[in-house]
Amino acid sequence: MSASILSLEGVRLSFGHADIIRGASFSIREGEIHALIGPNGAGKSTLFHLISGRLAPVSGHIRFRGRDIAGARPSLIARLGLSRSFQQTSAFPSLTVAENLAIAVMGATGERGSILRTSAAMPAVWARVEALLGKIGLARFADRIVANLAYSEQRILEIGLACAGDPALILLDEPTAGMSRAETEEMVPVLRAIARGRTLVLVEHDMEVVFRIADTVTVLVHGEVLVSGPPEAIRSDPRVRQAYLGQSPEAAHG
Amino acid sequence: MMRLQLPRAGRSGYGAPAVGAGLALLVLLPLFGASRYWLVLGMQVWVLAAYAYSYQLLFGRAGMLSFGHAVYFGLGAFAAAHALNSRALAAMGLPVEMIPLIGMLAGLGAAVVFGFPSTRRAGTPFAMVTLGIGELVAACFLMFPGFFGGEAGISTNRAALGGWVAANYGAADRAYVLIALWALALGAMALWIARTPLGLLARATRDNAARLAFCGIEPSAVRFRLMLVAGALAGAAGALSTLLNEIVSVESVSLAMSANVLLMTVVGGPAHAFGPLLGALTLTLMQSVLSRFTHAWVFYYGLMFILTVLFAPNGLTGIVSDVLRNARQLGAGGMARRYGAPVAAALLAGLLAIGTIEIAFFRDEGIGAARVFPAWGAAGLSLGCLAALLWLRRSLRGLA
Repeated sequence: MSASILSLEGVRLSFGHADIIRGASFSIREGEIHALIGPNGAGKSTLFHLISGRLAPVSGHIRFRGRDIAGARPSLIARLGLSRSFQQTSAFPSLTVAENLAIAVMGATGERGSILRTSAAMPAVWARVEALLGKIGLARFADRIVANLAYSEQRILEIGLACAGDPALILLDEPTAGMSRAETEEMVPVLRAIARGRTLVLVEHDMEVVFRIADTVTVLVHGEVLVSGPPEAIRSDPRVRQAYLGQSPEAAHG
Repeated sequence: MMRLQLPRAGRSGYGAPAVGAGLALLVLLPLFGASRYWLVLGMQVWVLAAYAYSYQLLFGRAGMLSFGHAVYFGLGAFAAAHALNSRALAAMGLPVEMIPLIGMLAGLGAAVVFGFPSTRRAGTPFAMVTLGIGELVAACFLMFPGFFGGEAGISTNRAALGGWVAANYGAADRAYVLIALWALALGAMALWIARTPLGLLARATRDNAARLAFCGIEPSAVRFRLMLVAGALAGAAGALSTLLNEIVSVESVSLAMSANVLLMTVVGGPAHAFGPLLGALTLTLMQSVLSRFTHAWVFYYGLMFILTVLFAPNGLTGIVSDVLRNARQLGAGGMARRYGAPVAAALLAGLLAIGTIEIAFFRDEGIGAARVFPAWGAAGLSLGCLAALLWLRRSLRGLA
């Protein structure tokens, strides 16, 4: 078993008296594809916000490569090599696709916004952007303003932004949300491709996708980890069926 | 290999040589025998344009709505006045051409101090903090009359220091060239910044600051850097205003001065390379020329601001660009068909509105024929104006 790259220990979050995350503990091994599933409101996206620094836990530890990042600033966590995508597409809408990716690359390469050269004169950044555009298949949209892109292309850009800085770990929040069956099918090899050489954690509602690509599945219910294990074990676990209101996980989200 | 279209800041489409020739003519205005009156007006335009270019960097690029930009302009102006009056600097042989650099340093210093608290947050908190800082600095004016000169302000003389190029810049024509060249340089710097990596990050913070943080770049750090640049450029513009007016008073750090730069930037066009210049020209013409015809010019200026925000978010430069693009596509006949009705409707509505406003104004002041102008007459004029506006709306709908 390979080493853990990210581990959560007793992470709690509450707003007033409402406990959102009640002591979540699990760990993610380096290089695996780890799926986070659970019924609506289980706290999956909240957990992503805690890991990526948008929210700070009330207590508990979040260790990324041995360093406690609980409550650290998002920009710092990103620079440590942990990046994320969003459930709602949230790129930079008035910028072009290439500019969007350039910003993500600049963040990773430590470009702090020089004023002594034009932004065109960043050869290393633009070379990375060109390579990325080819990889995610958006090369022909390089100069398109993002707001004018089709929805599925915006979803792909969202993932491109998350892996632009070549992070060690990527959190993907529902990469196939709102996609048709056919678009989802196209997404599966893309997900496998970006997982190569790094760790991928995804929240996903499409159980077929989850059971096809995940190495480990963690089930979250009411802000607690119900069970964590390989997909076969999760599929046959009676507690998981119970959590999905007596249905099989596949049937719960068709 | 695929070619990437690299980002460009402002697409003017006017042709660089034409623009260069036009600007050169403007700088050399004194050669064409312009009178002192027009030279002073011209200097006013250049000073305000430089000021607006610094603001465009904040508001137009990064969406930072500052209500206290006059702080940097005003402190630059005061620093320049003190430098002009300083015996020590005169003894060191500081040339008057370098006075704007003093203003720039003052603006930069002020931005280091005030930028830190104001740029931590974006949006509404940023706007409110800048408003607070503006009030705070204006209050200092009366608290420290030693530095700010109290009610009277600080008088100076731009000929107090010698120059490198000219012996001195006391004469209006020489001062004009100095101010115009400096303003051009400051505008060019602001446009350059928009094209740098910092300019790209500025647009990214405006679009989605939270996402920028998740890309590993702290948005507040981007805003702070922009504030430093904008503060320095505004400080230099303030120094130019000292060279022009040879007096600095509380007005230069006032809320009105902060509001003016916002109005100019919006009216001229917040994203266009010529926006600040056109905005400054418009404000100056209304302030100096229109005000000779009517005391209601401020009213018209406010009205123009509102109409721009509502109907022409890209400002006057945006309208000019649209019209030029359409003119190329449609030709003269097409243009007449497309714009004939809306322009006629807008002119009629404008004339009737002006008539209503002016008569009401003169009636209230008890001047001339307006004194006996009946109330039903004013009501009729405004009804006519309303009808013209409805016509304008209909003809504009035909455009879309």
